[in-house]
Amino acid sequence: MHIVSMGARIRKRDRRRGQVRPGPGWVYLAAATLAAVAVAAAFSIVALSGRSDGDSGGQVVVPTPGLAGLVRDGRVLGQPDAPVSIVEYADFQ
Amino acid sequence: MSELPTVERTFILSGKAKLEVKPIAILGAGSILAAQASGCANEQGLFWDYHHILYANQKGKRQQQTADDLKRYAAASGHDMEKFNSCLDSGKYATTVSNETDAATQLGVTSTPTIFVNGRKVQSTADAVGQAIQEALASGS
Repeated sequence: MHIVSMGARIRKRDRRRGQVRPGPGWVYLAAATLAAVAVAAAFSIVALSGRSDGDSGGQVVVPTPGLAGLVRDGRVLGQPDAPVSIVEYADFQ
Repeated sequence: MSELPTVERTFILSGKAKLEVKPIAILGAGSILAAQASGCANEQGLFWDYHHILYANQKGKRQQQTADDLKRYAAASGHDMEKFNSCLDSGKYATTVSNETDAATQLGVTSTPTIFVNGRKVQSTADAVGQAIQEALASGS
């Protein structure tokens, strides 16, 4: 209580001097605004990550395969009788 | 690999090498589904298109691919979606993926990509693969 009344006296003095300081009211308002912004940002992040998770369709990156001129047969690229055989084990996750 | 490395492309284009990709599942549930989905893509002759789109949309270990993700990739790469969905939902490639993963593990595959050149395990770098191809060609093996 002492601190509040002291703050009030200081603000009164400042108003007399023509100096306006942000008092407790301003502080609470600023804090509330910041909190509201933070909550809104958190909701946005959740909403966005939900979309990219993709039940209802996040963006799909569609690359250009760049396989022009290469023989394809199922999972094999290249001539079937090529002397060197490269096998790549891949995890698509 | 997301794109075919130049060294492999060069040898494949010249008819000296061929590349087979074997999808395995070592990174969780998303791996298993993605490998199965690649089998479904292969049924439609679109394995390589699907392979590239999968790599372009990889999520890593923390966020697993879902069936819906895999279906969206299929739609974006020109699949007959009725056939693709039916294939993926049936789980018809579950055994194949499991068997290929087991076989890879037996060969000492513990991470991906792991590359073998004429049956010899090599480092997954362009230089190492290129050198292994040159050696295989030189030895005629």
